[in-house]
Amino acid sequence: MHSDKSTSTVGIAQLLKCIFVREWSIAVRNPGQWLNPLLFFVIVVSLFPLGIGPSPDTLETIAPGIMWVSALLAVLLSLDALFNADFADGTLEQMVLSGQSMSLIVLAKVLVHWLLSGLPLLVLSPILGLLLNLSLDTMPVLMISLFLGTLSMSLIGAIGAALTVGLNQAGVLLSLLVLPLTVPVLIFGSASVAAAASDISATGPLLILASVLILALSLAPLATALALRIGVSGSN
Amino acid sequence: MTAKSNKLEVDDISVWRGDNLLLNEVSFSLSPGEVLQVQGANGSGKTTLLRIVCGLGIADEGLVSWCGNPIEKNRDQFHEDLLYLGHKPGIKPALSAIENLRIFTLLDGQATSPGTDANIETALDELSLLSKAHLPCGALSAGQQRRVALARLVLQAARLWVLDEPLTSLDKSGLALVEQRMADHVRQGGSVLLTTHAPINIDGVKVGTLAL
Repeated sequence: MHSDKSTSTVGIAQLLKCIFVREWSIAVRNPGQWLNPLLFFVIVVSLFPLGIGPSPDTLETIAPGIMWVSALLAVLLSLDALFNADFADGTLEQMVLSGQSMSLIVLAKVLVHWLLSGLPLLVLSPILGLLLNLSLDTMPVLMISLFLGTLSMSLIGAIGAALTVGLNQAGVLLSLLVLPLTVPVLIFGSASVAAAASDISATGPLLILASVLILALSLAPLATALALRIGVSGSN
Repeated sequence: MTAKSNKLEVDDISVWRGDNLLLNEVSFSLSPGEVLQVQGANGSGKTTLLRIVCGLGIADEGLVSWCGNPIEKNRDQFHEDLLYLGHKPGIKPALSAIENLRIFTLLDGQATSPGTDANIETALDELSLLSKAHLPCGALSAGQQRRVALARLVLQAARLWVLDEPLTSLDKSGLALVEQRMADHVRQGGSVLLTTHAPINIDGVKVGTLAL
């Protein structure tokens, strides 16, 4: 049995696919995990017109900010579950001990997390945008900016989730760690939607969002993997 | 790499917990074909020692080497040769036994092939779990979940097994299976480091003991 150990390097695509399928099956069977943040987003955005009043001009002015702040908080809300379940049942230990690339494992996990927490926000955003009197012309910019932004926030948030893994009641600490890092995303995200709403080109802020995403994609999995190694070895 | 023997050496491991010296200069070595049982009362540091050996825990002093290299210098190689089963076996209640084991074969460095599921089913059959293979593990009993985790002993080819209380909640036939599997593993040149409170008998192998 010892001699038939095949080459130790499992293909990257295979590793990504396996983790992907696994995380997807788990998430589909625990719908509360990703439905809660989504419901939170819908509720917060739809309460604003009720609280502020139905004046179309006011709503249009504050719509980009509301959409973006709500999206940011919804992503934050979903981050807590990213590694804690795996930590509690020992999966994380096994991943750290596997000899496979921890960064790739992290990347696959974050992508699934985004598909379940970020993508639904993206899909629902035009409907909620209409509720806030955003014009139809701004919808493409809203969706592109949310695509770039929520993916960046998932990646950046994973670092915070990894640093707080295994801590009890880490929600507040997680927010404190992650919020400052996501402020640029928030600023340029809502700026791009505001620009589109006043018929100015939104290319500038969108390009900045894209560069933040590239930076996060390349660095966040490495930082997250390191933080997870420390988190797992610190616990007994 | 294979020229050097797959020997685990642990030198003078000391761990402090606050003012309390939990492990005091623990040393041992484990050569291919050997089984070492760590014994000690609850709270004597058995799990801590095993986690340090795996590279999961950090010792205040001392060195763990595998094939003559300190494990932190050669972590990927060491982790490929290592199978660690802890108190928390990494079994997801929402996934079935087969789904749970798929990722472990991959994490253990075996590329997925059309035969993977068949291998997993053979392993589950050996542990008399085949009829439960597609049930969510949350629906299985504690002993059955332990058997799902132990299926990895059948599935993979790591040289060094580090098993923390592998016999918890197992019945007699489960115990016999694990002993049989350990005997096979040792005969093929593997080595086993384990903690357990039950006495174990492995055919033709002298089980060394380390008292903490």
